[in-house]
Amino acid sequence: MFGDIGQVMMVFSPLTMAVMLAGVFGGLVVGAMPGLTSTMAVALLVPITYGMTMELGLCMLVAVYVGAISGGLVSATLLNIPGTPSSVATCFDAYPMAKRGEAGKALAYGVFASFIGGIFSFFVLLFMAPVLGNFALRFSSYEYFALVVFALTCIISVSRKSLVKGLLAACIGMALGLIGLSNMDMVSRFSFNSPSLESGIDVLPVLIGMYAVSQLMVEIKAIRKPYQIMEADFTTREFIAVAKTFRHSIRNLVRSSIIGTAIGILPGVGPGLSNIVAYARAKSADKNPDSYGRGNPDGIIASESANNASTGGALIPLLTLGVPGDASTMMMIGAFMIHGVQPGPLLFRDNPSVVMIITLAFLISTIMMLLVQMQCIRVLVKALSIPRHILYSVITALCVIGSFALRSNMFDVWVFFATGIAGYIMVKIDFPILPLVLGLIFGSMAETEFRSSYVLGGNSFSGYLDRPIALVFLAAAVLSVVISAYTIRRSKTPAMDTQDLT
Amino acid sequence: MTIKKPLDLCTGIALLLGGLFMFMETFAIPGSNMALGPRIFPQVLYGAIIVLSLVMVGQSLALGPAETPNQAGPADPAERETMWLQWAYIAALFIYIAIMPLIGYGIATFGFCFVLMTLLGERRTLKSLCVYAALSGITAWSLVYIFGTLLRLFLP
Repeated sequence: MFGDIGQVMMVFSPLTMAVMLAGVFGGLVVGAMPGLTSTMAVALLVPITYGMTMELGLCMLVAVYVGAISGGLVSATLLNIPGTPSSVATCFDAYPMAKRGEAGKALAYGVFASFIGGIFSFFVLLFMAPVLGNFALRFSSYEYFALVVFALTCIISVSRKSLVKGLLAACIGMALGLIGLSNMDMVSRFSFNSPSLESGIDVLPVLIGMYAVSQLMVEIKAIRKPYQIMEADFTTREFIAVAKTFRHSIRNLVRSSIIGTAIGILPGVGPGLSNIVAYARAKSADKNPDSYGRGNPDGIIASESANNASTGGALIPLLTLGVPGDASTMMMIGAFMIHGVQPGPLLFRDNPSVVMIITLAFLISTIMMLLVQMQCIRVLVKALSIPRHILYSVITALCVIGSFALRSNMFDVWVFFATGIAGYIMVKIDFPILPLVLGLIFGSMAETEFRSSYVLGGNSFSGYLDRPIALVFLAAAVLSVVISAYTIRRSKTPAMDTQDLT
Repeated sequence: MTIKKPLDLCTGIALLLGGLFMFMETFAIPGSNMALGPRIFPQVLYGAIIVLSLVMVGQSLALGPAETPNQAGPADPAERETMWLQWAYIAALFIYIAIMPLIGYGIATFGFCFVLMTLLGERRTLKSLCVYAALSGITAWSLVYIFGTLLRLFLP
């Protein structure tokens, strides 16, 4: 179950611990800064893992992911701007607390709630992932194709921008994934006699372009608006005093952690939605719901415990099914691909140590996140003062080299440039990005499994009728589309956006 | 019939034309002996794109009199400036990528960072320009060191 113990123990080596500590700190800093998302942080660091072992690279990415999700608390509290989409609901009560001089307390509530939420999802990850992974070993082409369809429709349904746009984005992404040589026949498709297109469009430049450059272009629009940063600090004694009051919020904490973990498991959803759902649930369950939005610590507890619980939840479908739980874990697929490993059920069979390493890295990162924030909250507050024009220039330069690094190919850099502009246009015309990128990642695999299932069924699709798991996935996919269409049609108010919140 | 969402209409038409073009391109894909062949899945996808684009075009139109559109006021100077900054960012990035293979990664990165910091920054005094130059140099050197020396990547 745990694989090679010696290999697993490398997670406790000084180098790995140092890298994870740096990753958590870096993630917290990135997450604290509005406009810089955890997805961007992970995307920028994936190319750097090229020079590391896979285990070390993944530990670093997990640490950055955990840190970035939690870091959004700082700007939510001090600026009333969510550092990441996972901290939108945190603003509602953290900022009012800061306005009445309790910024340090608000931060303390958020930090401790993040820790508890993370630990909760660690245990779910630890016990659920092996069970699901072993179950998924029974998957064949039918289940894999049905799973891809389900994952894509799930993401489209949840984004609620527009069902048609979501489906279009997914189809375009899958179509882009088919450029180059086909997996089964090695036939050249849509290369237009270009050697660069013959080798296909790599995922990483598209990920970096769509999530980093498009976001930077959105942020540049607001670059002249200065931030008004509240003063904040807390001592360890104050932090412990706040932690002691948590016994009054146990029910809220557990409920929000469950919500966060469950939402994190759903493909493509993640912390961006979980914090809002948990907040809404906490408010409706409270005896005094009107106190929410006016500086009620339970609002912060609900939001922050849910968003960190989602991080562990998002790792579950990534490791067990090879389907990312959210955009950040989708970036981690890039790291797996760099090292020639496919996440999913075969990972449990062929590399069980890697699964255990990632699980332990998640636990260690969560603990480090708590300790770093307790000791270095002042540094994170200072990070908000970093001039954005300097930061964006450095990030863009990092994006360019990151796009180039994988294949040492200028074509990839041009792909990054083009997809960056395309991503910005998509944001402006309300097209969801996540289905397109997921379609790009899974397009080729979807075709292979689609055609293989046809062959396995004796040159027909009747084989699906004998595969109940595949039928369940396909039925769930259809259901999610139908429900989404019905909900959008009935909805009178604009749906909450889970991406690109600016 | 009126145009309810002009952006969606334009996007729908563009995707429709693109989808039609690519669908025609699928017929140029050679066949194979493998099941379904390499042409079928792309045809299904581009067929779906064509249908969805038509739906999108349809949704962007409305029967009956046009709704009174929300007229955006004239762009204020601040908004014009930030739009200019966005265009400047794209232009700087384009030039950076284009000249990188010609003058080398390190010099191109230094130049790009310096120009972008100057463009995006509000202050353009001699002191701030010196700071930008120093930071650009540090950034370029660090990236060359990390990727070129440590990771042994071949840089342009």
